[in-house]
Parts: sequence; structure tokens; C-alpha cells
Amino acid sequence: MASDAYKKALKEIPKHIQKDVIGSIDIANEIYECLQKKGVSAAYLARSMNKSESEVSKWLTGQHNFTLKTVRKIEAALECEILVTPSSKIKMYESQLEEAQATIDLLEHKLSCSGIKDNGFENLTQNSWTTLDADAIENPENDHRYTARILSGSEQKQFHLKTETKSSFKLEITNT
Amino acid sequence: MKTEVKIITKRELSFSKVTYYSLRFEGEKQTELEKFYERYQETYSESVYYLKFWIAQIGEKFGANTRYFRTEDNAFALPPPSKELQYINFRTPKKGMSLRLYCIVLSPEIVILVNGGIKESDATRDSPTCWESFMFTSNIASQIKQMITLGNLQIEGRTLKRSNSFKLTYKK
Repeated sequence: MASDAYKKALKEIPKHIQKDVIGSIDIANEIYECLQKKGVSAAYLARSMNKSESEVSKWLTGQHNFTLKTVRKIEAALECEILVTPSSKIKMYESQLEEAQATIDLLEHKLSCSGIKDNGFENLTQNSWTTLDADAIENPENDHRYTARILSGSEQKQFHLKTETKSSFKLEITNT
Repeated sequence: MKTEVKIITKRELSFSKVTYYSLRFEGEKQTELEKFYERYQETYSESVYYLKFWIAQIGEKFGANTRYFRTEDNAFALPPPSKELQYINFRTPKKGMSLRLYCIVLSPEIVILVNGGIKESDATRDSPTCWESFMFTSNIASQIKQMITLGNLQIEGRTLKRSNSFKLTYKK
């Protein structure tokens, strides 16, 4: 637990100073991750942005005070997102839900064609997905498993919908 | 004429890992640290806040390892050296820091924050406000070292115990 002295000190020090000191390391880490995902080096980024390698190295140490313009240029060069606003994050999850709904619709159609009669999703309404969306935003890194049951006479099939990355879902089918 | 200098601490200087102390001249109300803050708070407010932030971080999270302090003879100074800031993922202010706060690091748990000034040139001697604070800090550091050697000052965890028979003094 933080000491009273520490709490008092942080209360007194303006928030922008505190953020300025420790804020840029998050951006540096994001750039580093984008480089890893794309499988390119810092030298590649330097070349594609017409910057010196030493400048890009400085970006990666977290010592640079980034402007929004620079961050957007880095995003363009690496074709990735570094700064994501809360509203764009919500839009991203809404889009993911739409994709998931399309997958479920397709699956439902396939099951219907495969001779399983009276199939249907139970408790899978638009409202329940809205709730899941909120949960996903709270814990985007967690392994989310959403379950839907399909009824087919006396037979039940259970679907586990698992978010694997920010933009993909995996559908697992298990018999119950 | 020499004036007695007392080592004192206050509640707001007692962090989880470090207890900071300051010095106060006999007959004065303010500690040297309070005088430092008051003198530079208005004109160098951003630098003062940075210093306060690092003092809080060292006191609460890192402990007073000497590598977080600049060394100047037998005294130390804040802000931390740029390389160390980089190592712990902290950034220096965009405009740089010319403000120095001199201190005496007695252990990873005890630091005496003294006073400081503006570093106007590479040599401390050529920066009048810094030089004055450095000379004072260095002198007190020597006296404290002697007190510890003679057993007149003992460090017990985050507490300093001083023998009444020995006093710190300084000619202003």
C-alpha cells in the first residue's frame, strides 16, 4: 500500500507531468510490437519514413515526446494501430460482433441443411451480445468464451465462441 | 560565526522505501528543502514538479540506490542521470533540467535533501546558486561522515540517531 507521503506527493504534482514522465513507454512498446508482428526491423521503419536509424532507436527507448502526427505516420508506415481511442475501440468490437453474428447465421444455415430439425439458438439475442461486448472491452486480453446451445430435438450441441485476437474468433463445437 | 544545523524529517517525507530528511539552521523556521521549493516553485515550476516526482518515485518504488543520483565529490544531486532515467523508463523534461537539488545519500533508506540552484555551466563553481548549495552540502556531508565514524550518528533502518554531544555547524 502506498505511503501517505506518496499519495500526497502525487496529488500535488500535476497529472500532465506524471504522464509526461512515464507516458511514452507505452507508445514505444506498441511500435515495438507492430515491428514484431510485421516482421520488420527498426531500420526498415527508419528507411520507410526517411528517418535516421538513431532517431527510430530513440523512439523505441520511450524517451521521445511523440506528436500525434508522428504516431499517425508510424501507423501508416507499419500498417497498424498504435493509438486507439475508446470510441474507435467500441466500433472495433461492434464490428467483431457483427462478424460473429454472421458466422453463427452461416452455421445455423449449415446445420439446418444437414438435416437437424428444429434447431435454433437459445438465449442468443442481440441484447446478450451487447453485454458480452462490454465485458470484452473491459478485459480485451482475456480468453473470452461465450456459449450458445443449439437444440435439435433431444440432442443439444454447445458452441464455444472464443476471441483469439482483436479481430478473429474461433468457433468450437462440442457435444453435451 | 557558525550556526547549528539540525537534521529533521517530516511526515510528508516518509515514503515506503526511503525516509528523506532535510537540514534546518538554528533559529530558522524553514528547512533548506522548503527554502529551495519556495525559491524556485514559481520560476521553475515544471522542474520543481519533476524533482518532486522523482523524489516520490525513488522514495516509494526504487529505494535510494546511489545510481539514481548524480555524484559531485562527497555530495549527490538530483535529477537522476539521464542514463538511469532511460533505464527505468522515465523521461527527462523536453527543455532539459538546469535545476539541481543537492543531497546526502546515507543509505538506500535515508537521504538528506538539502538545497540547490541553477546549473548555468558545466562547472558547478561557475554557477553561483549551485556552488553555494554544493559547498554547504559537501561541508555537512563531511561532518556527518565524521559523526558516523566516531559513533555520534547511527543509522538504524530509516531512523537517524544523533548523540547530543555532537552538533553540526556551518558558517553562513
